[in-house]
Amino acid sequence: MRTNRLQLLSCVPPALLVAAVLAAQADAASAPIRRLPDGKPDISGYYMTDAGGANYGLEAREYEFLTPASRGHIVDPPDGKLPYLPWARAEKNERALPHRGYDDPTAHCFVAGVPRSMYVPAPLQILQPPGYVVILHERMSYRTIPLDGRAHLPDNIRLWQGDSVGHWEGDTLVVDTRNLNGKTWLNEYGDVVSHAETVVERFIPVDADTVTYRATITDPLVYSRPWTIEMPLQRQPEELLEVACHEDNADLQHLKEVRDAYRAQQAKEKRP
Amino acid sequence: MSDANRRTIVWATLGALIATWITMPAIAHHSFSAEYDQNKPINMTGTVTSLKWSNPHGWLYMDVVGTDGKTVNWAFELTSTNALIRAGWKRDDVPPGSRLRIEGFQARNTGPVAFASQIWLETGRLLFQVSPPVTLAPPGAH
Repeated sequence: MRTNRLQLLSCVPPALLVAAVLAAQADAASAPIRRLPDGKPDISGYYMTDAGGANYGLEAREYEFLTPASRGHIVDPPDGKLPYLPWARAEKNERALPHRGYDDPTAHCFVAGVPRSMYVPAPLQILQPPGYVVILHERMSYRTIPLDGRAHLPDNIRLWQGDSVGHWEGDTLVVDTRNLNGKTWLNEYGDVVSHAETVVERFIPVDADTVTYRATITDPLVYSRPWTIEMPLQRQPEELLEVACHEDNADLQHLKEVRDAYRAQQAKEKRP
Repeated sequence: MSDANRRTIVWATLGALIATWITMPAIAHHSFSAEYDQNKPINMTGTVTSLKWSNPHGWLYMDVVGTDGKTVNWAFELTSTNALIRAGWKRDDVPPGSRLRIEGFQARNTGPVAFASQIWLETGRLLFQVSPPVTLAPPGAH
């Protein structure tokens, strides 16, 4: 099935394909949300997040050399700015410099963490087996989210994707994630989280093919208050493809050379 | 295979790709701006030696004759392989022997490595363009 679909895709000029998808989405825009036999929303399927450059900055920013613009995703605080503590703002500003590109964990092919996994530029699939919601991210990660009210893992267990538990509040799926390891970056622009990060996500069905994604991040070591981002997930016909990121990650060596050259220059300037 | 037949196959393959030329943002698992230098634009014409269809990015290798007459095999980074697939590219779309002109930016601290922001057939047809387009370098710049 996948092969056939890809073969078909390869024969269709991209503009026609985009037009067909947009037309299908327009038809579905007024369609009611889908439901499972138990009445809960059926949000299973393939999605592409309308991320608007979130992977390149959560605050609004202009296009810079080979770095897409971000339309800005912060709905709280109202000014659209991350409520950074001073040390963390300084750290974020330095991470945006070329010699820190090597330090972004996704450059090493590590998983992106929460919430970044939701807005890296790759599709995701949501499954709803009984008692769970499962999110498969094409970028080599997944989350299995139990809905049975169980407690989180002990605090001394720390994970790249954290420990997620969920429940329904009406038609909204609420996912609480803790036990994060604090090693992730929130985007290529270097937005910061620590091991104190916790995330509450809300998946709010809007129509048959659209889910509003809202996430509130709390991290008192980095931010002066919790803050919230929002972006839509759009259902799409495409299936997930394989990403064997470690196969030929030549970029990592190039980024290491940039970092090492910077460090050598710094050491040279410090010599008497 | 004769050179004439080989050329026919190369041009037939490239002709099929023309219908699916793509423009897309620079999609990557890492920062392109950290790896490549906007102060080192390149604009080169050469002969493709291979298209490496690998994760996390595709790489296009091309022999380029420099101003000193020496041939250097340059590596041009492409967007993610899955993005290329979804745009209709296939691993045999740009066979060895293809003549291309590539505009882009050289890596900050390596040798003959560059990011390909625009790929053109020698006839002047555009095969790939990063979106939004970035500053162009004069022909022969490298």
